Amino acid sequence: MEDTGHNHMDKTTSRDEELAEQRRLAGEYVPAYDGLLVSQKLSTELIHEEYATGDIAYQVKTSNLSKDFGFFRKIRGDGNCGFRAFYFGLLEVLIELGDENLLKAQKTRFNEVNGLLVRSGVDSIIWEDWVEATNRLLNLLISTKHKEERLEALFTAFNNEDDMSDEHSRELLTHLRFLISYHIKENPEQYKHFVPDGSIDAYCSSLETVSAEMDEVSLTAAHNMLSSAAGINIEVLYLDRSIGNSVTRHKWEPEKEKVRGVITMLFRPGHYDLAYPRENAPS
Amino acid sequence: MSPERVLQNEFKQLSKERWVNIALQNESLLQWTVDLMVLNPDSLYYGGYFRGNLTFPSEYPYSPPRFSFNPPLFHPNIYPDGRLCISILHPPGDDEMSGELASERWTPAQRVETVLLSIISLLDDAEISSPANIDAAKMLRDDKAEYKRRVAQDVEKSKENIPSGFVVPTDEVLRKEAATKAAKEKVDDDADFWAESDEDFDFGSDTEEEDNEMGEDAGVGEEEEDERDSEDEEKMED
Repeated sequence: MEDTGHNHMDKTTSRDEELAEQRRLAGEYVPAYDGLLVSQKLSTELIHEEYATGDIAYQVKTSNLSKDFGFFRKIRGDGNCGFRAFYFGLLEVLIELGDENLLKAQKTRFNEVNGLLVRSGVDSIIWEDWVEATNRLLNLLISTKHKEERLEALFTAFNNEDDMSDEHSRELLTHLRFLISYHIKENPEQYKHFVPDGSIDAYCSSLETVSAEMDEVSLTAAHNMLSSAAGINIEVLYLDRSIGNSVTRHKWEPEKEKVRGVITMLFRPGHYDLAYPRENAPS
Repeated sequence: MSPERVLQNEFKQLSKERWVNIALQNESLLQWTVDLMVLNPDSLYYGGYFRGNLTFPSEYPYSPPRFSFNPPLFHPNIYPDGRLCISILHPPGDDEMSGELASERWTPAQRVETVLLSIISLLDDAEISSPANIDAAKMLRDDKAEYKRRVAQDVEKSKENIPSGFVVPTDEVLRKEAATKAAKEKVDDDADFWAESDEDFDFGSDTEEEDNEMGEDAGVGEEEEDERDSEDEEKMED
């Protein structure tokens, strides 16, 4: 999806070389996580440093990126990064807004869309753990009283991948992934023109394998289901070799509600992280 | 979460199926002995009773189980050590089988039943373009008669695994059962029809007798089903 309108090829470079280069850069980047699934907030200077010896286009863009976006969180690139960034980002924005009712409304919204799982005809033994994981996390966030403690609880839950523990981030992400897939299957008219060959079935089957990465279709579906009605924007910053000195910015707006907050995702070919604007940055 | 709860449910449901016998190894829900029966009379493997090991990872269902035939079968998509080359069992992110349909890949919503049925259909739908057993693939392509002979050998040998006292349901038995069941349902559904139609009444009583004859070997009828259920539960507790 990264080359839809954002990726103007350098005319002197063949497309194959271009792709190989992007893969190399993405490949260099992805393994560099610090052992966490979602890192603490880190300075975006680190991103600039990563490209110090790399492509000039990246050097310029990463330098400008850190002017407007001071911090980022590294998200583990294990095929779940886009889903992890969206889900963590959504709850983080709701917590930062500091209103417990927004968390309660989000729990209600999740339980409404859980009807997709019931209607899918898939045995509830398969998905009830996923639903429970989301409910448990939202209950924990709601019952925790201070913003800092809530953020800590969110951070802990998303970094927990211990199979034997209750807060199991894999279940959270699988929940989101299957909600997105079943939402798309229930609304084929809305999505069929955006999936490869117009095949909703093939697209969703691939989405349900736990390694299929998030793309703009699944991000749009996630937004339509979970963040739009909450009044949360999604903004994606595309850091690639397209023309220009800054990252390409693209927004998913909420449909009706007034904008309460923004999830900012930093996209490099094949990978999503979260980014945080400086207070005085242009929006 | 541990995978045991999901697997317990899967084990219980599969225990009711006629085409498979399953047992836990070392009382672990993560290791099953699976005996697959080929009940389709059109299959080269019809009548076979194929034993395999099914092993579940601790991160099941986020990663697929592993299956291997024991003893191995001579087949283009079965490695000489018994492991299978089948896309539904490939771990996420493993692109070894790229070119396969996405719908055949492992997802956390797949069931053990789907996996086992895929394995049974693989037997007759061998894929020879990227074989796990090159000799078997060549033979299937170049000498179909010899290949069939090798398969027949495997089928015969597999029968040694049939537990004493167990009878593999034959196509004939299954057809009769299905007919009996259909007739019974028809009769039960319409009490008036039952009372008024001699013809149907006779049909019903005939098959009822057959039902009882076969019951000893094959286990049919609703009451017997219930008994099977409670046996399964005992098995689970063992």
